[in-house]
This record gives sequence, structure tokens and C-alpha cells, in this order.
Amino acid sequence: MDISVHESDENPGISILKLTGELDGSNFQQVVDAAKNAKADGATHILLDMSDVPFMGSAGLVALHTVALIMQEKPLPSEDDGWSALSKMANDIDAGMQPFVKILSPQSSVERGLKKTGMNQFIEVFSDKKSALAAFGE
Amino acid sequence: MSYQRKRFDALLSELSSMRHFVLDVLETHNPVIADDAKDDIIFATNEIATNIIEHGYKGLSGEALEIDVDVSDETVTIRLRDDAPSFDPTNPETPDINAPLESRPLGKVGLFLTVEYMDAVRHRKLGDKGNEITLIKELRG
Repeated sequence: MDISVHESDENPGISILKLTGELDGSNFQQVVDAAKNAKADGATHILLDMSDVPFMGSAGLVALHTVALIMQEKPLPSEDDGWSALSKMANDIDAGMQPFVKILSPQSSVERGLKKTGMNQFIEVFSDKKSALAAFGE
Repeated sequence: MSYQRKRFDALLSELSSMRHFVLDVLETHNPVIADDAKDDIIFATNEIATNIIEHGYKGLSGEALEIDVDVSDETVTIRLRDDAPSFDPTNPETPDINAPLESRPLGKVGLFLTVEYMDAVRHRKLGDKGNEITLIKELRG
């Protein structure tokens, strides 16, 4: 997977991570690492551009959840958490939309997964960049 | 009904090849399968293959898994076979004294969704060593 990172010209502090390629267990950690680096570089919010991601497995969902936890400065689930990590993800989704991470233009198969899991109730999804960036200010 | 089988190295880097193999067979032998159904089948195949690689084989290199794809107008059946110690991912709470405890959250999310997406998920032990997971999707409409 290719990941390009740049700061929004209009909204300093918002990093746009453009993901290109299929997202699965072989490369989901790259997304998490990119978010960690963006935060370390001063990003306060992240827009994940998923317009060029034709497939996302469950590892991708875990990556998205982890990115949101990173930007919220919440503890990350450990590998030993097992089923409780799944419960934690479900609890976070139930808690409602977080304001730090948004998703841009997921392809239809990816969007189905976001809806099926309720992840779209935790990370807001947009179809255009302008609206996504503006929503960070709300 | 059309049937194809392919053997893959059990590596996470091969997941994309596995997905594309399944997609190619689906699109060749039943071009009218709905996109939603295709997505579900490919997702579930990916998750089970990931589970085999990471938990069945514990990420060890040099192992293999085999994928069968059966396609008809009514049903798609995917079978994934490995030579790993017996582990039934369809019931991850069942203790298996021959396998380590399922611990990574990654596998659990995927297994949960696989059961949600497919109409049937079955496990069969193969002899002293090995597993066969069968995924069935009924094609409706």
C-alpha cells in the first residue's frame, strides 16, 4: 500500500493521508504508523482519503479504529486483549462520532464494510474533500 | 457448476493473489453475481485465509493453503484447506488444547464479520492435522 501524507493548505493541523491499494493484514500497520507519525509531526486531525482503496479487510477496520484512538490520545488495545478489544471497538462505535478522524470517498465495497460494522457512526464519511475539511471545524 | 482449485503459499503477502483468484473465478463462471455478494465472498475468504496464516500456522513460512471455488447459479462455495493444528474458527470460544489461545483482536473482528456475511461457515478437521473451512453464499435475486 502507498500512503502519501500532506497537511491541508486551508486547514493547518489537518493531515490528509491518501491511501492507495488494497488494505489487509499484510499492510494495515502502515496506516497506523502513518497516523502516529502525522500526530508526532503536529497533526491534530486526520482525513483518510480512501478513494483508491478497492478492498479493506477487517485489519483495515482495526487500523481505522486505532487511528481514531491515536488522535484521541486514548490507550490502544494490546494484542493480548482478544475478544475484549472487539468489545472495546464496539463500545467506541456505540459512543458515537469522534471529531478527530474522517474518511473521504470510500469505494462501495469499503463503504459497505463501514456501514455493516457501524464504523461510519464512529468515523464520519464524506464524498467530497471540501465538506470533509469544513466538518473538522464544526 | 464450475470448480477451480489453487494452492498458495500461506503468507500475508499472498492474500491479494488469493482474493483475485476467487474474484476471477466468480466473474468468469457467473458474471451476473451481484457486487454485494462478490464483496462478501472475497471478504470472508480473506478473513479465513488471514486466520489460517496468522493463527493456524502462527506466521511460519514454508506452509501452504488451498482454495477451492465452486460456482453455480444458486450458490458459491469456497473451501480453504490447511495443514495446521486443528482450530475451529467458527467457534473461537471453544478451547483447543492443540492450539494457542486466540488472542489477537484482528482475527476476532474478521471471524465475526465472516459469519455475518456468509450464509454458512463450517469447519472440518482433516485427519490428525489440518482443517477445512467451508464458506457458503446463497445467491438470491
